[in-house]
Amino acid sequence: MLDFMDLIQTAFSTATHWDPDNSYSALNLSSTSLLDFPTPRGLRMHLSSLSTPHFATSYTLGSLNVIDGSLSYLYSSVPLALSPSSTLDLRLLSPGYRQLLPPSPPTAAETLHAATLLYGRMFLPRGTLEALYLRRLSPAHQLRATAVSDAKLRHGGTILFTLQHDTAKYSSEYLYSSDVSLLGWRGLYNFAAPSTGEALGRLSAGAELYYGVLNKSAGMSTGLRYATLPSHPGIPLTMTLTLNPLMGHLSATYAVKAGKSLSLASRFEFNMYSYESDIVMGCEMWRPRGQGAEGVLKARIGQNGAVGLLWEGRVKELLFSVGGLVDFRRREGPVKVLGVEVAYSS
Amino acid sequence: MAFNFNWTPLIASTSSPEFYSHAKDLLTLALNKSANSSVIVDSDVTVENLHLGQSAPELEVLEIGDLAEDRFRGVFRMTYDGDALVTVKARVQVNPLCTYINHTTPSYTNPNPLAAASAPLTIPVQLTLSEFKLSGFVILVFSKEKGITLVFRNDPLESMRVQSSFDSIPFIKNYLQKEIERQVRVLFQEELPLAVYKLSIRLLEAEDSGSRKPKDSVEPSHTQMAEEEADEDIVSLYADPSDVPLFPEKNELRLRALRNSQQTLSLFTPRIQGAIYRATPPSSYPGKTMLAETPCAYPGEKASIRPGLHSSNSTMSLGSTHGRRKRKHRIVNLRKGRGESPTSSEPVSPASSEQATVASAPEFDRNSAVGDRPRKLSLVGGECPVPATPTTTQQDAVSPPLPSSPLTNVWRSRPDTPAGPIRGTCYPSGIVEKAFMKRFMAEMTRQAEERRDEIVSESRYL
Repeated sequence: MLDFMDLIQTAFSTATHWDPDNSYSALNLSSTSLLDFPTPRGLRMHLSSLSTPHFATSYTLGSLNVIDGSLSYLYSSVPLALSPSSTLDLRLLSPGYRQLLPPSPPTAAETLHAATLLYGRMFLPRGTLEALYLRRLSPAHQLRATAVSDAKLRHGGTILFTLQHDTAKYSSEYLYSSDVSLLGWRGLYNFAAPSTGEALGRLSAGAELYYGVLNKSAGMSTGLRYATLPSHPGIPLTMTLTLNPLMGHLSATYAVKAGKSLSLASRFEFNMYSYESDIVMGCEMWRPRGQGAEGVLKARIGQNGAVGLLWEGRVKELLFSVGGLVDFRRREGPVKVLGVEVAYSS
Repeated sequence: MAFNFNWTPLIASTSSPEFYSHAKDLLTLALNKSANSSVIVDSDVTVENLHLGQSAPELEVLEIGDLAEDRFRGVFRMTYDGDALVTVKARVQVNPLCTYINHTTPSYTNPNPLAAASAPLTIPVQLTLSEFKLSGFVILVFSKEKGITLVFRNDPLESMRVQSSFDSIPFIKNYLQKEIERQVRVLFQEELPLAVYKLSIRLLEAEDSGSRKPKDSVEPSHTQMAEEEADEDIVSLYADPSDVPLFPEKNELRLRALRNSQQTLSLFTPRIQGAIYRATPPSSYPGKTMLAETPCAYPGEKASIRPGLHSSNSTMSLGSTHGRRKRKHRIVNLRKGRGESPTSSEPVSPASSEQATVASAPEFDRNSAVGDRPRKLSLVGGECPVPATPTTTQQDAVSPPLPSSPLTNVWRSRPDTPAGPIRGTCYPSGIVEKAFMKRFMAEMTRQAEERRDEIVSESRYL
């Protein structure tokens, strides 16, 4: 279940016509949301409100060992719209298979220029502070700065700057993290559709490079994705292949929307150096009710026998998220993690 | 006295599997004590193989400070060039970005790399350390109550061989060799003493079966600590009243005589069976505290840099000026007996006079009465004629008649001429010292000859 503030940020992207999918980091979003969905831990309650189109607040109370909580505030310079929890589209709340659209160049509306989003979240009693500054510099540029302040962290906190550049054809991101002076670059290139006829699929290739100046460590990966577009007559599917040449790690994912309410995904990983391999399979099933959906059940199973289960749905005006991790091979009992989350927003 | 170091039970691991498993446990514990780097995944560093080798280290006993049924203190010189080896195993995450993303940075500022960090690659790393060459001084303190304290006085590691999974890459090989040598030095100097101490405590506790618990178990972490303990041992040698009856008075007197014998210029030391004469700076034995109570009467404390040439009680005169004068030049007064005043010898605590007595006793009893002060050579005597000159007259005035003994008579009969010009004059110390040493050596040989003659003549009479 996405956090209320994540929903607001999605709404901000929608309102400012910024395509978050056109980025290398979102290359295998479909399979990730089907295979790596987070399961709740302990009991947690969210109370959120978009009090004005520009201002949102959210409170969280959780009890995992100790009672903790957080309060967060958000300000947006552009008016945002989000339905309350009673009428919210669950597919927005719980992302599953991601239907990609043909890349569209960012609109250059005058009003969107210098659109800004400010967000802060204070965790209690730890005293950790999270902050976000998001600013649309130009129609094709967006600056995103996230920071965490925590006494336990080295140097008391870290900050991450991301400069995003998106022309529908390609997108690139430049990163700097203060932690180890990490410099990064990510790029995604969309291959042109064949000139004859309508495009049925979208082929993209990308790469990422990182270099930690202080610890002199580097990392990189390359990736390839093919996804069908809505105009495709057959079953919607997404295939990705990523390779980390430094570590010899190969990963292939395959996600398919088998029906209106069923999606399946699988991922195969292999390391050329250590011969280690892994396979994960997952699915999501929607329970439709009228136009929308009543709830969704997600499940995944890995090679080691660990099963992740999650049910998300609406009861009255409350949004529920119940899930856990089960491992039948575990000696101390099969249930590893169990959690319930309740959210209400207005 | 003989020591038996038994190495063979440790050689075959089959003969003492308990020892080996326990030693492995302790080593594993020591290796994982400091916070592990986040690159070590899955489990801790484990000691895979441990073998102490076929050849034993060579131990040379340098000093035994204390020896009893339940305690021991000694200094050894250890050299080792054997085939001991230890193998350490760990699983290491070699994707640096992976450890950074998963352990260092909070999730909110995570750059969320797509596949650069999600590709973990853990490889098993094996390290074998062998061909140790060790040479060092070991201080071993054993006490039934405090366990075994083993400390290396210096850095014992001379060389060692490091074999690892990365031997094919020279850069990493060299780095590992350097880094591990550094770590092993730390291990020898800090971790090993602690491990030995813990092991000994454990074994001793098992022996006592909980009947007696260690009173104050001081964990040795530094060399300094053991040295302090050693010092403490000297002081507290007689502190325990239960020890006193074990040490007969006669022996004590003889030992004291032996100890004090170096405060004289005699070449002859009392013979005690099985004891080795060793020159110790006079400041290091407990008698010092007694003498220090009357500093003015015992200015020779300052001359402690020369262990053999301990000065006499002759310079009472310094008593008045002692506090405010800095003596830059060493003045040698060879005129014997000048300062042998009652004020100088008598105010010295009874203990010190007794010492002097005992010092002379074993060899000189035959012809001199107990209480004689037979041979004292004044090394630090007169002074520069700077401010307080009346001392000279005072010295002359109070100087008492010397006790008569054959030896002192011999002394007396020496002409005073060479000592004359020295007194009361400041000389550059080097020349004076040279001259003095010359004279001193001549004096010593002469004295030795005379004594030999004396003994010969005596035995003839007998």
